[in-house]
Amino acid sequence: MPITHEGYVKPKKEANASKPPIGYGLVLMGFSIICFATAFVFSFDDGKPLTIQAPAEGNPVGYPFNVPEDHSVYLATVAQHPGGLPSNSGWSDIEIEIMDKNETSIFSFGGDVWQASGRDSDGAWSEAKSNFKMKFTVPEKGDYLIGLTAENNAPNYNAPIKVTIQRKAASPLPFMLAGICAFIAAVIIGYITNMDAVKETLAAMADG
Amino acid sequence: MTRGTVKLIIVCGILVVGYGVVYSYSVRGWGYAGYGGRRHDNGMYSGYRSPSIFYWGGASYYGNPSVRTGSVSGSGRSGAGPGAGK
Repeated sequence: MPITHEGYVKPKKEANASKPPIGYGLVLMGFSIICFATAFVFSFDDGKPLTIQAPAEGNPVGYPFNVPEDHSVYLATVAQHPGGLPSNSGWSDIEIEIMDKNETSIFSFGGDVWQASGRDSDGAWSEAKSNFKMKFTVPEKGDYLIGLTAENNAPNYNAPIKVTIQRKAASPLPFMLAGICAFIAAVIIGYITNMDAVKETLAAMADG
Repeated sequence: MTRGTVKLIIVCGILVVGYGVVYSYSVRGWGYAGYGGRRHDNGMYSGYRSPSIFYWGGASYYGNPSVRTGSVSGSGRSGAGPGAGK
């Protein structure tokens, strides 16, 4: 039986019935946008930050730190000016320790500050690291202590250490990952669904 | 309602459930240092995790104070950073 123009152009009713009103790729793209938006909202600050100022060698006394809710997420920013450290050889190592109210250590993190300079074929250069950051989660609410210990190799280095601990709304990481996965899936599905159209467009572009 | 619409509703339902699962991880602070830890009745702590591989740029994490390296009171010290210069 010859195929008529009408039969060729118009899709059959059954074929239309199994086709969704909008493509799955578009749905996944929308989902990824919602995930990225949620991640953005969850990265907002929640409340006022706790600011601690300590001497260059740290402070053996724990600073009180109240966690109002279970699973609270915090961003700690530790800063110290490296200006007084000897260039290329000086360092200041800082460690932040999360302890319970009985001074039992739970976990800790740390980093260092330094400065370096020199001269090469491009001319003089200098680099410095004056801060580091760490996000952490405190699973159970309650009263904690923040321990701050530091050590450096410069004899007269006395730049104070400033620690800022800011509570965040939640962890944006899971939504970032979900958004990236959904975005990749949307692109792949969109490509497969519209493969013919993509090939035609690419061929037209190649022809000029 | 066409078969295509039903399929689309099912896919949307799966995504809504997926959103809920991701939300539950997010509000529990997944991915950062300390996630998943708990305090036992005897005062001991366990389950505190290091940052996930998806968290870039954070400082060094020391989960066990007695064996950490590079910390002020640890068994070793990595010290200065100028080696990371230009």
